[in-house]
Amino acid sequence: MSLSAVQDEVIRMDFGPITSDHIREFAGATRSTQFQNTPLTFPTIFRTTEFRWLDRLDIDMHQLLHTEQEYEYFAPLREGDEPSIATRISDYRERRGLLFVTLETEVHCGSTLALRAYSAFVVRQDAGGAE
Amino acid sequence: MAWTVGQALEPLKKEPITREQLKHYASASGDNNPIHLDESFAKEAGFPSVIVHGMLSMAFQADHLQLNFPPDRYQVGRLKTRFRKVTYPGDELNCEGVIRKVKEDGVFLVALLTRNQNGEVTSDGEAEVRLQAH
Repeated sequence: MSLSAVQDEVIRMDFGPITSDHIREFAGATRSTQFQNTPLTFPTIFRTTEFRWLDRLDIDMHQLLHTEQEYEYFAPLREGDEPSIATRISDYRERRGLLFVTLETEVHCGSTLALRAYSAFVVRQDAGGAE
Repeated sequence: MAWTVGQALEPLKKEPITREQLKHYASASGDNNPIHLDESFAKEAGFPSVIVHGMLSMAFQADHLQLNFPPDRYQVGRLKTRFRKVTYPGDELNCEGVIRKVKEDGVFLVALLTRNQNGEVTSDGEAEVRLQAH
């Protein structure tokens, strides 16, 4: 597959209101003690659109490694917000038996862009395992 | 506190990561990739055991950042992490950081590093932090 075949596609999801349970569960699992409203990596709970992309690209989860994650924060995410998630593919390259995929996600609350996330993955395309 | 270039952040040492914690994180985050939960799946993928979610170690790094830059006084504009080495249950992660640059617009550029109990770098990253506008 080439990038041009999928570069205009956007996978979207609406996330029902963020509840105090979501925040408490996430902070508990990550042992987060220092945050206002929601922990900095809390938006990872919206990654369903990324998993749909990986499925769409027919990527074998055995071969997948998450190599890089970046967040740009523009407005706080709060309990009660109902975020709209939109994920597109921003990079897709094959090199020496490896596939490099970067997904770019925008999270809006109403008309406000709350954050942008970039998730980079490497997919080992050989038959063998890692290392 | 006035931060200066080259100043080290207060480090944060985390408790050893447990398989229970991976299950809890998977359920809280929705990342149920079996490579973090299912031993036989992880072995088929070439790992000696299940591996820790990279995003869990990034959450530690984020908590470490905010321990040094409390969220009631500082605002994080950007956070980036590169996952360099796989982390396994039982590993003990230590988060470190240093002020790399103070930009003219009052933004601190912070370099972040996480090591395991053997001193190996498991992830590194950077953050941009500024004082909250009041």
